[in-house]
Formats: sequence, C-alpha cells, structure tokens
Amino acid sequence: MGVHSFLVFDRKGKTMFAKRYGKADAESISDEAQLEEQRKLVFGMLFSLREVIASLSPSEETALHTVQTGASTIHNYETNSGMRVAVYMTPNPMAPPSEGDTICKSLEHIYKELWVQCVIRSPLYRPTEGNINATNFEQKLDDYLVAQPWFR
Amino acid sequence: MASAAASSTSAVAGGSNKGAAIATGSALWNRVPKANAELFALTYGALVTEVLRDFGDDINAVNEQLDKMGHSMGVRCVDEYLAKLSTAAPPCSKFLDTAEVLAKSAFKMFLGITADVVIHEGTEGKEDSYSLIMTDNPLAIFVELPDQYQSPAGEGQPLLEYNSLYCGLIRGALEMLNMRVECKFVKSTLRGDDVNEIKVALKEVVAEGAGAEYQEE
Repeated sequence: MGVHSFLVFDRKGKTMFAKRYGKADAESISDEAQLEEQRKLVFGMLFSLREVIASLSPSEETALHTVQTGASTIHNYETNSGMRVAVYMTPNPMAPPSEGDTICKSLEHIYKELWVQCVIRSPLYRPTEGNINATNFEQKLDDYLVAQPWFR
Repeated sequence: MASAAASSTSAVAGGSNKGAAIATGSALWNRVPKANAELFALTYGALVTEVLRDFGDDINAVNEQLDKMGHSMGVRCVDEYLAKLSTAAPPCSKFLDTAEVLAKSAFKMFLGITADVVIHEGTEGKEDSYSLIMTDNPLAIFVELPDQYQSPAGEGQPLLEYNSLYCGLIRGALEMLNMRVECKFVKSTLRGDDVNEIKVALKEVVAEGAGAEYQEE
C-alpha cells in the first residue's frame, strides 16, 4: 500500500529525480540499468499518452492526470515547460474517491513550492546535468511526503 | 528591503487577453518578494565591468557572455513564473500569446515594469516577430555609457550591448517553451534613443520530442 516511487522528468525525458519508497524486497528489479529502462518506459508512456490526448481531445487541455491499472496508479503533474512530476502508488482501498484530486494538488504543490524553491533557485543546479543531489530537494520532499495522509 | 522602482506604464486594457495578462501581472507583483532596485542595477553594472575587464577589447565576446548569462537566467525564470501562477490555465502556447504574457505579466513580476507590444507584419501575412517597448530600464538606472561604447569606432566595429541580458533571458525562457527565437536590442536609451526596444523573432517551433536517449537505434 502507499507510494512506491516518485519520479521527476524533464522536457527531454531525462530522469531528473527518482526515489523508491516502500519495502525494497518487494521490488523485483534491482539492477541499475534495468531501473533506468523502467523509468524511460514510464516517461515514454506519459509522453505518448499526451500526444494521443492532444489528437483526440477537442479542447486545448492536454494534461494527463492519472493512469489507473488493476494493481496501481500513476498520478502525474505536467507544466508548460515540460517538467513532469509523477508518483506511482497503490491507493488505499478505503480512500475516498476524491483522493486523486488531493494527490494532484500535492504534486502541484511539490512542483511549485519545493522544486522551484530548492532546485531552480539553487546555484548548483544545471538544467542539462540535473545534479539534484547537491540541493536539499530530497530532504524537503521526504519531509513533505511523510506529512501527507495518503503516503504510507 | 525597499521595493523595486515600479513605474507602471499606463496599461491599455484592450481585449480580454491583454486585460487578463495585466491583472495577472499585478497580482504576481504583489506576491513575489522584492529586492532593492539600486542594488540590482549596481550589481549588474559591476558584473558588466568585470566581464569587460575579462575580455578586454573583444566587444562581441562581451555581448555574447552577457547573452549567455541571460539565457541561463531565462531557463530558470520560466519555472519560477509558472510556479507562481495560481491559475492552472496554460498562459501561452502560441508565439504571439507570449508577447502579451512577457510584456505585461512576466516583466511586471520580475522587474516591476510593463512593456508595450508591437506586432510586426511578417511576410505572407504570417506574424512571427514582435517588439517589446520599454520606457524605463531597471537595469540601467545609473548607467552612462562612455563614448567608445556609444558609437562604433569605425566601420564594422561592434557596439557594447549593455542590455544583452534581456535578450538572453527571453531567448532562454522561450526555449523552454519549445520556441526558438532570436532577440535583438534594437533601440536603447543608453545610446540616446527615446525608448528601449527589444525585437523578438521566431525562428522555429521545436517539435516536442524526447531527447537523444530515446532515439531508435
């Protein structure tokens, strides 16, 4: 139950930040290269879905919020500058149906407050290299997520 | 911290798009933390002096360096701007929309001034360039350019473009929105013109695509 992983992608598909939560032995893939492949696949899926939506949808809105499968859900927040914040989780079956909205709002808050404050404003951050470890983003993110009721 | 010199030009609210951008600009201006305008201008002046000292007589390199600094600033400013927007609606996806947003909303938020927009008639009726007209320039409030930089020493001598930072900024910001533009500072009050004018021309709309890591082998 709860959050499995948290990912941040940039415009080009590079994984800016990725963190796995939950029990490590529940993860079947532990090899670094395979993990990288998995993340690329996630980005590819989000990207392709956005293209599909753009062609299907009559309006201008192309934001993808949630992808729900039998086992788990991916919540996604995109910006105009191409950054995507995605959280992969198994929702609590007792959760109210509006939980998706709160999670989307949380992702928005994470982008607006935490990412911009910690990463964009940090002098050690380069958009092309993406050295997030030099900032205190991870620390702030953990503090924030632990305080959320849907995170377990 | 004194609030930056906010000389608001008379904002003509024609059309709903303009009105919305102006309103957003004022709202954003109220929400951001302010810094001292004189400190800002003097720091930039010191920076330009340093760059001049580093590159000596190579004015082109100086301009390029200032432009590069502006570019890396612009790349970050976009996210900052998008984060501060309280409405979720995407502000601009087409090139001409960026004109209004830049002039009224973004300039107001970061610099405390607004600019006017003049859209140029392009070839074949395609409008792909506009000019931002600023009456005052917060970067250059105490600046006087010495004579050697005011007018070219001879034919083909490059001019020091003190305000290259703006050009790089706009270029970097629009690049993050998939638009490759070319920016030029056409008129400058430092050189005796009555207004500052930045010309922004769209070169191409970069297709939204995945980076090199995703190319098919």
